[in-house]
Amino acid sequence: MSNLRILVPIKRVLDYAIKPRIAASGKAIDLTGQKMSLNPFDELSIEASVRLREAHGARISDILAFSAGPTKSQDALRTAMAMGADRGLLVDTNNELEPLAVAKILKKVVEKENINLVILGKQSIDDDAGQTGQMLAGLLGWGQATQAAEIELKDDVVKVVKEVDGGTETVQGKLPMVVTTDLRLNEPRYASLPNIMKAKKKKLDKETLESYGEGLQGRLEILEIAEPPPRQGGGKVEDVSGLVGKLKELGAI
Amino acid sequence: MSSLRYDVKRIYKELLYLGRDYPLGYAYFRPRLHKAFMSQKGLQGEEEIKTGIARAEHVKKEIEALYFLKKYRAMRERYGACPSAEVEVERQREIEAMAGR
Repeated sequence: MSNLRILVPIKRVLDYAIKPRIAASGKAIDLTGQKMSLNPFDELSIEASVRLREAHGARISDILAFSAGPTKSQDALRTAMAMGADRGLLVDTNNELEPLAVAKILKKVVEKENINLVILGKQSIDDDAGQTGQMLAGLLGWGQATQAAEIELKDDVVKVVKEVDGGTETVQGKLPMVVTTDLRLNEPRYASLPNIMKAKKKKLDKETLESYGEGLQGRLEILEIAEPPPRQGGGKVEDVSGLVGKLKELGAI
Repeated sequence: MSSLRYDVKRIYKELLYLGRDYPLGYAYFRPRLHKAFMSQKGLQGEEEIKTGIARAEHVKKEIEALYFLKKYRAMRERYGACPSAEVEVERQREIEAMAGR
């Protein structure tokens, strides 16, 4: 039975309650002065790793929260540490990283830190790519269980229940593994004030993007970002014949 | 007595911190929280104050639960099965159950 060293990659994103505004360039979301917070799916993955510790105690030797992004991402890392991660690692960069680049960085972190379980959110609510976990598993050659609705650890076997159309699917695999979290996995705890204060004493390392080598540049160019078309207002009809007429006009009957 | 004083201050500060995320805004939350605490300033007995603190702890849990639910519902609406589909499946099952009977 091996000890677990868990890696939880997180992302700082525009808060879920805020409506995104398109920047003047039309190719980005305007983030200036907006409230940013921890990606909700990443909260689930931190909660999952903390719950593994609560269930298995001594077996969990490390929970490392990781983020790659602007310096302010350390706020998200602090939140993660307040929820129960042991330490944080930030790769400080202002470049917009694509999922493949993040997966490549994560692979190096996994190798350096001797990680044997990676739990990540299935997607971030800003880019909605939902690729990082799968690409990381591919790069590492590990098994992956995506969109977990339940995670159970027994010896070196990880059992994951997934929600599929109208039912559930249960898969299991041996460590090392990559698991991505779905919405109904757990109820993330709130990062309370005393815990945020305690988290300030936890270790947070910073590294530069350059130390992670080549091949991290983006391959896609954003051409345009557009809002969904505004909803067309409905109309009222006077009586039944009006309704029938309207339906005929639309070709519905 | 003095330790209770710090307990009250601690829970007040924790609630203030929670208030920063309050849906109706911090400006709505803060005066109301202050009023709620001030209305209890006359409490004298140790037991009374402890009950008051317990009530504040309860409110804190309620607010945390509120935030969780609000976020969960928003995420489900955006990423989960749409509610109408769930209703549809439920209706289908009812029809099947009736047909089976």
